[in-house]
Amino acid sequence: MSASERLALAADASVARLDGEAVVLHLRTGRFFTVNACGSTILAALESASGATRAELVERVCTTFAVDAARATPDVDAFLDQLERGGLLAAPRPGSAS
Amino acid sequence: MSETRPSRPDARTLRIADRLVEVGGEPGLFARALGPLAALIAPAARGEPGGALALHVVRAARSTPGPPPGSAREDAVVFEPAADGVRVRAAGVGCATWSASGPISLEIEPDAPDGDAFAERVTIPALAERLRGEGIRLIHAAVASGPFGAHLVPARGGGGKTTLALSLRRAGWRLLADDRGWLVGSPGRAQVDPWPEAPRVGDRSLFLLPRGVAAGPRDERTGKAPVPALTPPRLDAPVGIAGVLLPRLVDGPGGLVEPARGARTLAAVAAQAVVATSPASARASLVFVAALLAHVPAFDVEVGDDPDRLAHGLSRALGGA
Repeated sequence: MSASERLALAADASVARLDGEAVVLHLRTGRFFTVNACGSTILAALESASGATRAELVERVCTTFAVDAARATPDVDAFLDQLERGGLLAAPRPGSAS
Repeated sequence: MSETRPSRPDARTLRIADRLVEVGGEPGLFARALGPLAALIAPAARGEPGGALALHVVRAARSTPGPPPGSAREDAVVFEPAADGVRVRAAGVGCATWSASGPISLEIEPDAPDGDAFAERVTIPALAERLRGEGIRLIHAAVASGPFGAHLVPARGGGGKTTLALSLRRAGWRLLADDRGWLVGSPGRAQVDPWPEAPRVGDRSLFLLPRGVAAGPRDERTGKAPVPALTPPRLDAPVGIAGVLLPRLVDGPGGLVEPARGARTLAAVAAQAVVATSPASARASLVFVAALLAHVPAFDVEVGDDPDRLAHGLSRALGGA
């Protein structure tokens, strides 16, 4: 994924939250994924109509959890990787990179 | 609840929460079509059903080849779009077809296995999916009622539902359902209509049976045996849900009870109530479960071999909730 690519949750993903954490259901496979508070914050950005770039996600995590980018970036990357492997990230739309 | 009588003498009426389901078609096939749903048959009485969901069962014209016995696909159930709505199909058993607001048509194949195979693999999945669209959600959970109200005990098969429920029964709780129930109402006022079936016990739970009560023949596939004498009575109406108990089987006495929150708890409950067949109903069910857990307390419960210790731990936890 490119740095400017706008990322979003796949249409097959359904999210529910409890106590600041989240569960993502893959509607086609029926698999559940549990997500901690940091992941839930990232999901909220990915659920928005415009999605978010990787940089925006890192910034959101830094702001929400009062950590620096060096700390947040690997966590964001790892989470995005898990979402992608789970089929939960939408395919990039043509021209979505701004 | 107003009492009703089937509109035809050769029909049967089920009651699921406050929803009536009228079963018609070939009477000789009713038993196989319903299977364990027979526990939900409503007594015949006055009046007309008016507005009952129709379930129509017939014999299919031909059989389809089923998967080999013991294969991974043996219990496979396929949901697929149909010309007039949705179809659920179990190869070698039969199919059901329905639309969003119409009746459910059931076809039992001539060579379908005897027993509950058709009901478990066709009728119940079809009925459950149809009713999800009306906000009536099937959940795999035991239901037990005690001093602090009725509690759901959701868990996968072999996860400890029956062991926990029978442990609570020893402490004076009422067993309302062993394995399934129907969730209704809003998340803030959620209710469950318990499905009264005989508890099925494995070796681990045999010691919890009352003196003089014996288990029936063991099912070779599941390793469990039914205990008909402990079949709960059918309730007249759904009961309010006071909480959720998540069993965790442990060696030793067990009995540790701790509040359960967060994504792990949500996933544990949702896994027993959310079926990814229709995206719309799956999303709605997931949201419902999350909202339910925001309104009622949930507890992780260690289920060991000391039911008294478990009951004491639960009483302490629920009393402080």
